[in-house]
Amino acid sequence: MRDAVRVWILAAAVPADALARYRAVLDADERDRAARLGTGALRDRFTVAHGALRVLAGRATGAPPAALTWCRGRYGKPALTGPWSGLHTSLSYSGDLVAVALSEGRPVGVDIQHVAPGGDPVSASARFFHPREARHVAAGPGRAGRALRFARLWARKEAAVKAAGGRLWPNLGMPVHRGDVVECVDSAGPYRLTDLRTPAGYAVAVALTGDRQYAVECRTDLGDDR
Amino acid sequence: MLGHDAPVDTPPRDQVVDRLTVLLTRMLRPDAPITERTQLMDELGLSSSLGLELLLALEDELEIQIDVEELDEDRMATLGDLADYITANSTPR
Repeated sequence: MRDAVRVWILAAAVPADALARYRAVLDADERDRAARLGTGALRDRFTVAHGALRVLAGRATGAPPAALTWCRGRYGKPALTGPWSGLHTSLSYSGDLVAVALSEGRPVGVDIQHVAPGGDPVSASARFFHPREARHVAAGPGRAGRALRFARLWARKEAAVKAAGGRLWPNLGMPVHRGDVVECVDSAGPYRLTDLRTPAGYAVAVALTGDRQYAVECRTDLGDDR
Repeated sequence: MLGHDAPVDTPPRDQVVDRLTVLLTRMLRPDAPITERTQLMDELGLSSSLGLELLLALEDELEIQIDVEELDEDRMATLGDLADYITANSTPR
């Protein structure tokens, strides 16, 4: 049977009662981190992201969401601890959306990018990406097309690096445009990428460690019996 | 008189702090003033893609190239941390 990864793409803005339920499952450190963020929108997005991760990982493991604990790897990648360590998790948020990914057995990375109107994707890719990818971004149709190409490549790079538990910056030159099996340079090894169908204005990619094929199940709600 | 082996000038740390403060304020429009102790990800919610935009803008303003090979989240926890990294890991262009 093929490996599988489950991904949820969720709205960061939720009604007050849902926000309270997410907040109730956070641990003290997560509540403290949420409180430090400078605006209400950032605080709420953080709370939804980490709360949804706990709810979904709790369902997958059978553990109470608030009881789950993660430890951080050398470069900050969180990994579930103790009896839950067979489940791999990844979390990303950008703009008004949150992405949660769960995988049994193979380390996972997910990344969501809001295609921002500002910035200079052509200069950024020329400076930091592989030359072929920089040409791909520069040849994008119009300003929006160039921004979307940049965001798609960025999401693919970041998803692979998150699966690897490595550092983003030394891996920015990693080619990810052609072919779905990519090689990280920092935490070396192959990772298989998949682009996900997303709402307009966003790019989402998921990566699993290793080059074997896998199935992706993507949902936009919790499903929900919570 | 400077010889060929004179050290190349990199921008002083104060200048890096000043430009980072201006750029971050312009990009993120935070409610509270930005200082050296402001935590970039934990307070401002700076994403990695905005971080890249920030470094690119700083390189253009100060006419430097920042070596990002050793950069990681721990080295850019606060604005002061990032200024330390840039001061130690950039060259004029």
